[in-house]
Amino acid sequence: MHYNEVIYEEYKLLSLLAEDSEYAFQLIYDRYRNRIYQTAVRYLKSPHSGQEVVQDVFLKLWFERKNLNPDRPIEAWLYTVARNNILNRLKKIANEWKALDQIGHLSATSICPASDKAETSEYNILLHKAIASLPEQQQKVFNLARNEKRTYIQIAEQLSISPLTVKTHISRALNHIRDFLHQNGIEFLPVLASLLIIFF
Amino acid sequence: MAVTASMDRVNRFYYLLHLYREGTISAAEQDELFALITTRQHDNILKEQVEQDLKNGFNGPKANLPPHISQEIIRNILSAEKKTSEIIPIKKPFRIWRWVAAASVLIIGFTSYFLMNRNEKNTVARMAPVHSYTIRNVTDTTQLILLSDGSRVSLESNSTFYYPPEFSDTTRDVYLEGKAFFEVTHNPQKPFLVHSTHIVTKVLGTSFFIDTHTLAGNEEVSVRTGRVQVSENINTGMNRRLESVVIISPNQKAIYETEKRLFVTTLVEKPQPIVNEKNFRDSLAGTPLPGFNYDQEKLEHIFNQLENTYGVEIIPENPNLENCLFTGDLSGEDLFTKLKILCLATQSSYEINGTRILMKGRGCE
Repeated sequence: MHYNEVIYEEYKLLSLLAEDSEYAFQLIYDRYRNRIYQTAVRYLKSPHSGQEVVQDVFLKLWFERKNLNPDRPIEAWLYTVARNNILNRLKKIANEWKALDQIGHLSATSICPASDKAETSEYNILLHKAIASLPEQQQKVFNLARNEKRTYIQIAEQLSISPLTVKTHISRALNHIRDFLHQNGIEFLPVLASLLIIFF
Repeated sequence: MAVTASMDRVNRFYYLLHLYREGTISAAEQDELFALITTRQHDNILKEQVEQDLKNGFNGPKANLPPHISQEIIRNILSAEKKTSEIIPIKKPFRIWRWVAAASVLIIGFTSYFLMNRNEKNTVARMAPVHSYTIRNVTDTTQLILLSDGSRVSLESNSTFYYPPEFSDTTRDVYLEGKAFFEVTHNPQKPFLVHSTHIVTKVLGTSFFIDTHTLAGNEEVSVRTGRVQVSENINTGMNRRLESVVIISPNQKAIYETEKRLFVTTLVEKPQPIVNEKNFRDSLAGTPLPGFNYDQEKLEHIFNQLENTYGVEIIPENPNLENCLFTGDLSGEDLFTKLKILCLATQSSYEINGTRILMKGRGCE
């Protein structure tokens, strides 16, 4: 049965690896790197993060090469390390994401009291000014999200940045707009409120 | 009610995660998903989904690692050690095996059908420890249960599953009345045992999938890949008999005949190509599985190929049978149809003898 041959082949490969064979390492790397990369990008939505995951996983394999159990499938080892790495990154992103959200919510509620008699056109003009005064990248991200209704993932892909960076830009842009309008004596922001609905 | 609400939350999480993985999630939905992730309530689902995508791959948009970056990573790794080995001569011990053991997932499915009288139902309930959770699936759909070790149970209709809030230090014991699929987290230090009325099924190997088949009156376990040990359940108060343990391999099944109190092993009705590492690697490397299209091929080679593909043993009664030649396309047929066609072409016949296939015929010179 060739099942045994496969086991034997892997056993040999891991023995070679334990003896510092860069060739064996490269073989294992070539077999699994794309599956790990693709899965990492699927969950982290960033080619750069995907590359970091691949590097972390195989760096660990290389450092651990003398401690591996040659009777155990290397695939399971690699996928476990990859899975934990991806999950840790994803959870970290989610935490930062939520922190950005909370800043946004705070600013939204802190500027919402006051009267409801404001004129929309006046706000629109000021709002345009506020957006125009944003730093270039923030402005680009903000407009893609607001005017073209792009999702975080789409904007990230288009600008080759991570979704978390997109989120950060949007969050900062909203804060900037709030401050700008505030400085212009406007406490009530129906337009900004409706803007926020897009994001929260 | 509380159960329904939590099921709804779980379903919502699956739905959002699905959109996110596919890249079609809206901005508002992504905010919702990430807020859910930070609650850490769905860590098991997340873990299981990442694991599944790693193991099985997925359809949809995906790009490979660009070659120049791939090479850069290799260079970084090999040079990183040279740098660190000067600074850190003693390696920090990683406790990685604990994680590996906890994570490599075995997939087993398990069927047990038995006479549904009250006494027997109570037997399983009595076997389960006092504080066990009881999940009774009275719906007409499969119900998913996640266990604390990451294992996953798909409980079918009219089935009941008992499991402890925490597993013991030495084994993972669960109890089943009815029919379920198991995806079991592999952990050699803690075998996974499924107890049912008459038998105990123990996970032994590395990668499992057991198919469900139904046979009223008896209990039945069948295996796709990997190995499972089935034994008579001695907790039912009967005396243990000799030879009441069987180990079954891919495409085999064990039937426990309740009346006779013995195990019969045979082949499953529809043997499937087995999933082994070679097949898996070939599919990773893009090598297509060998076809079954033959031109003047010796039966000897065809038998070999069938043995390898289905993990079964084919024994020609008369060695001359292996000399016969066959021309034709058997792709797309199941194993037994393939054999029937071969038999027609060579004036032979086959019979299933236990877990082996016996070929009978005069053969060719």
